[in-house]
Amino acid sequence: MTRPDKHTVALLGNPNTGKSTLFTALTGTRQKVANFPGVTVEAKLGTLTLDDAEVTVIDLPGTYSLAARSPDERIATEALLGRIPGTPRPDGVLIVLDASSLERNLYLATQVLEFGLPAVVALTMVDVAKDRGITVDAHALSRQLGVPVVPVNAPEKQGLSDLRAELHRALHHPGQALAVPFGDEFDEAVTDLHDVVCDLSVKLGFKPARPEALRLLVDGAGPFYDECEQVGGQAFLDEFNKLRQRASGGRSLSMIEAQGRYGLIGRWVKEARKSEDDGRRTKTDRVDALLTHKVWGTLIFVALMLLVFQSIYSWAGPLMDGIELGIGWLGAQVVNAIPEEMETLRSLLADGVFGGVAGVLVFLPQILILFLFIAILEDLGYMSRAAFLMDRLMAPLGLSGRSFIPLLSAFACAIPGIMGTRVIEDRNTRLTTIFLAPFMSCSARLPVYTLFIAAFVPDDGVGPFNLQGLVLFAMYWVGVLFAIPTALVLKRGILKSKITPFLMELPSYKMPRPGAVARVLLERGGSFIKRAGTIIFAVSIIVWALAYFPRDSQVIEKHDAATQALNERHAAKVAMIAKSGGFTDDDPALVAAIADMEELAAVHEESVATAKDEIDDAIELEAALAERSEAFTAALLELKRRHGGAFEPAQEIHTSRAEHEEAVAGIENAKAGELLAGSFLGRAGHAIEPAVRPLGWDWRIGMAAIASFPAREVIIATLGTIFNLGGEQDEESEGLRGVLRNAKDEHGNPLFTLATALSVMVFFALCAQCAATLAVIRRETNSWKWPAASFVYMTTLAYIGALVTYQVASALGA
Amino acid sequence: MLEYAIVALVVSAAAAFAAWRVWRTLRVSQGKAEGHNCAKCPAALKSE
Repeated sequence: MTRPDKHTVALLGNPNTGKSTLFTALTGTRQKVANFPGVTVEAKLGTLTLDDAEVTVIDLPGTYSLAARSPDERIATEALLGRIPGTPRPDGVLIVLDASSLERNLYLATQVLEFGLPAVVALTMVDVAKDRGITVDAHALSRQLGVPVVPVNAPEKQGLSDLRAELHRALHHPGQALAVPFGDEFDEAVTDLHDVVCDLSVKLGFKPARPEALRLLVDGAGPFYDECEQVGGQAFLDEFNKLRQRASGGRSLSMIEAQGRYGLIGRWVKEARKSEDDGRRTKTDRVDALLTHKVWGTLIFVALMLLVFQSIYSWAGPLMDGIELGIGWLGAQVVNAIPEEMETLRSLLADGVFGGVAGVLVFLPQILILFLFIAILEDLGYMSRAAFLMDRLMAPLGLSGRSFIPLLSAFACAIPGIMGTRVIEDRNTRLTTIFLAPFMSCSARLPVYTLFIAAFVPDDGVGPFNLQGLVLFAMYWVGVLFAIPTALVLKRGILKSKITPFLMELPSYKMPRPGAVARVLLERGGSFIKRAGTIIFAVSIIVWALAYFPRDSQVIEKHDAATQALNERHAAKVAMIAKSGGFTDDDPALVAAIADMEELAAVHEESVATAKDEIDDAIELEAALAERSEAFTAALLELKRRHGGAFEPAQEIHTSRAEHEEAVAGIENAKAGELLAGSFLGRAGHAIEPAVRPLGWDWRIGMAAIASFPAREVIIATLGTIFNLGGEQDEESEGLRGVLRNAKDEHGNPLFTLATALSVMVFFALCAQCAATLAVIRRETNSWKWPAASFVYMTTLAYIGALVTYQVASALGA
Repeated sequence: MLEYAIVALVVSAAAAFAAWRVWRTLRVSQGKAEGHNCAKCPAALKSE
């Protein structure tokens, strides 16, 4: 048996050419595919098997050129030269060309082909081009380029086997470098500069390629320039400047390069493309005229976003109730399986695991609904229209559409948003965008908003909308509102820079692909569950331990003794009532009468609660309650007739038992509250309470907010644990929402009002509560200064925002 | 005793996991480890 050949192929192309879809189709690697320029900001690796060869495919970031302007472009060049540590040097390239925008796509192709690696071209978007009346002759194009050109349709899996066969053939033949004619002076200057940098190769540690010398000459910047300057010193700089002057002949070097390349491309395209474009407006043009219109486009955008936030509430409700019931049932089964004397272990499971971390999982449907909309709109091609609309609003802030794309990604998660800023050429604009990304409401904030909105904002209609959906929509804008002045201050102050024009591509509309949408949902849902199962789980357990220990035995003994005394008093009272009716307390007639009485009372209570829940109209409710009260009285009379002499003592015992149970529950709650206050968490909480009081919070909310600094969703688990341990649980409440609604402060007043809930939400909208984001800011800026500034600034802003919100909302009576 | 042993084990495991995440986050911040969404990303291997 022979060992398979091993090869490495770089996959390159403009953004939004279907490159990522082709990568997935070839390698089967799971990857997010989005119809949006600049989404692929990180390269991915996949493996492709070609008969006897195993090919590693590197999916490089989508880029328009190899100029050393933005980090993405640099990465593409360095990957082609095999200079990225840990990534093998490619021995072939697969270039993706969009048939509907051939000229612009061929610009990058000419730069890549200059490297002389064996190459194959995959021609995508042939159907889109056809819709626009454009036909590309792949054979003619192949003759012009001197490399195989294969039309492919990756989503339909068409042309993939031909592409594999051509790739296999190309990898076994040497490639030929493309020579683009730029003019004699320019070409000679490139050759001379190549000689100069080759002389530095020992000091550089590698032999520079000719295309690198070309890039160095034209760009006059970038890491290669820095290295040459470092090792070559002034002698290199003198020679370099002389050559640049000679090559330019008084003109711009970028212009000479563009003219040379586009001249060649023009000749190629003339041979290979047939266009039936008669100046008609395509369907896409007509739809775009509406969707990118200053007024109508903005209105449609706002309406779409409102629809998304409304749906989060109206669709997720039943699913959330289902999950809540399921988790509650599972929790009861698990906890009941533990012997009652193992009180600590039962509390760990009931309050830490099921009361805490499992509560976070209830929010999965809302996350999925949000991403269902985002995935559909992205795949449809709408998101770039939204970016186009927003680009107009960015200019006054000193930012461009290039910043908008990472900021839009940050609405899902700040981390890919921050990594997405690598496409921004200007350092100061990039730093500003990095600083703004954590202000966008990421999906981790969604459960926090929806929990507090569902618990404290009334479910009323406001015109065609629902108040809860409107408040959620508003919460998503809080971060944006604070980001605007922040951007203004930064861009006009310490991070001042010129705005570079941003050319945005509006891709053709496509039918959303169910597979791509499903993949986004799987990835997002999976990552949410993973967070719940790892970091949130760990923090919940730690919070439980801090809130459970130490257990003050004096407190336990004091309350247990009180309960014991109550029990004894109740038993004596029951015996006395029974005796006064001529019964013993275990007389079967009396026991049966009490059982019937309790059943009747339970049925009546449930029917009253249902009526209160279902009937909104006050007059109707009063009538319904009167009707139920009459039915209850009639049933009581029936019980009296049936049980005769046992009825009166049974009724008395029933009333006394209800009072007794309430008194015992009161002692249990007091005991739980006292134990929690004496725990490590309780003591720390009371120490910080003066700081959070002005926000309308008590120490429990303060501790939950502090525990959420590693990750925001932790607050849900922490509140669940703290309030369960503190004896706030209520059997009739709907999960954590009900627990929060019923929570009382030390004076017995409701702990949360609408003002408190709004204050918590504003704090979470503005605070930098995500350790992973701060770590990525440190990595991307290569300094602790930026994450520290971001943390201090956002936390201060969050505190002031929550303070003002609470004080104003309270003054308005909320 | 068994009960306290189980509780102690679970709480220590959670604390150890949290400590490991803090350590890993610090490594990610210095570009020494792969972090969120950075699996196999050549870009993540080279500090800016």
